[in-house]
Amino acid sequence: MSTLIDLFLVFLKIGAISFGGGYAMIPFFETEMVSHNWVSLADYVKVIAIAQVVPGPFAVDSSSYIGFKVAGIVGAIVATIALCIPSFVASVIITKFYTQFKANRYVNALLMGVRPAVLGLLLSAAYIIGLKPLYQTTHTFMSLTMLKAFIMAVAGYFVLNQKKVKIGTFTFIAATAVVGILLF
Amino acid sequence: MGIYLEMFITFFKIGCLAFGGGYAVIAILQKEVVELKQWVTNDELTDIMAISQTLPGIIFVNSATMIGYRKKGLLGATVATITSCLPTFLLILLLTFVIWGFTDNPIVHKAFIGILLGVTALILNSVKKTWKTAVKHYSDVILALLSAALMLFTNINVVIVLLLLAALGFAKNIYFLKKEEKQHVNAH
Repeated sequence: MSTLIDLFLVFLKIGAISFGGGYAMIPFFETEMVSHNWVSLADYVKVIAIAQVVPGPFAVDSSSYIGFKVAGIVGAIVATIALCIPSFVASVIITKFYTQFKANRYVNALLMGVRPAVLGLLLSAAYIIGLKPLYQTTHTFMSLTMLKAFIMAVAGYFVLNQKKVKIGTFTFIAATAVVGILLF
Repeated sequence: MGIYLEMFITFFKIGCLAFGGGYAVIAILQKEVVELKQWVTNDELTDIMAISQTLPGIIFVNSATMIGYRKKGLLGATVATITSCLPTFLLILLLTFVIWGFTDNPIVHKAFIGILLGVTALILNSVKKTWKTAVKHYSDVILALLSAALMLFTNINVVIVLLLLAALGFAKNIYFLKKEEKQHVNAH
């Protein structure tokens, strides 16, 4: 029971503070699952890779998997519901008081003020997903594997930003799987 | 009862189709809830998506909740939220269960390294997009760099870093707001 309460509180907290949504939530998941010893980073990144072919928000992929690993199907349900509660409550309140909310300068100052911090969260997420798992197996940044990984991530960024050929996310992910097999 | 069943089906479908996040999801919502069901207008949807992105939490859940709430109050919001997350919940557990045994295979392992570096590129891409909306002033650059430095190079808990940066950003915006007001008063 205490594990379920732990799960509930941790995911409630993540749901409440994760400004920026999406990838910006990765550092929160990583911090909590490592400090609670729930899931290893090596296993978590596998789930992120699998989540690329699953529709819907990947935060739900994360909560379902971590919850399941910790306390089975009930754990998955508890973690996912807890994660969604803050968004749910905030959205209902906003819908009711939208006009007052939109005009409030202090609310705007807070919502705009937190945005630069989201950039740090995203860069941290890029490190956690791209380089940290490799670092944990090789224990050095000065290796050929690291160099290849770094180049591949940066090259991927430029491929996404070129204007000549339009590439869908699916095609992109499939291509990176092939490049991964050839490169590593 | 009919409307709830209809909502269940529509949001379940949206949950099944919501690949790629962000803009892709907006297009799906436009087709399903604006054009087909007419539960919200296009202008309302634009508003909903804008607010969803500023609120904490999952953007997708925020927008589903707001659409459900507009259509059928608290119960509608609950139905929309749960059913839109259900496909992801079921599919990730099923897929993980099926694929897990293969992940130790060397080729699958290499493919996964490639996919994760692809995800890293996608994240870098959202750094670029976020930069455009987050950085309006040189002080924002300082906050962004401080946030990145604290999160990447120190062991300070990420929650504490976020709260600290949010407080700094809030204080900074209030300071500029007051300064602007003062100039406004002086001009008159």
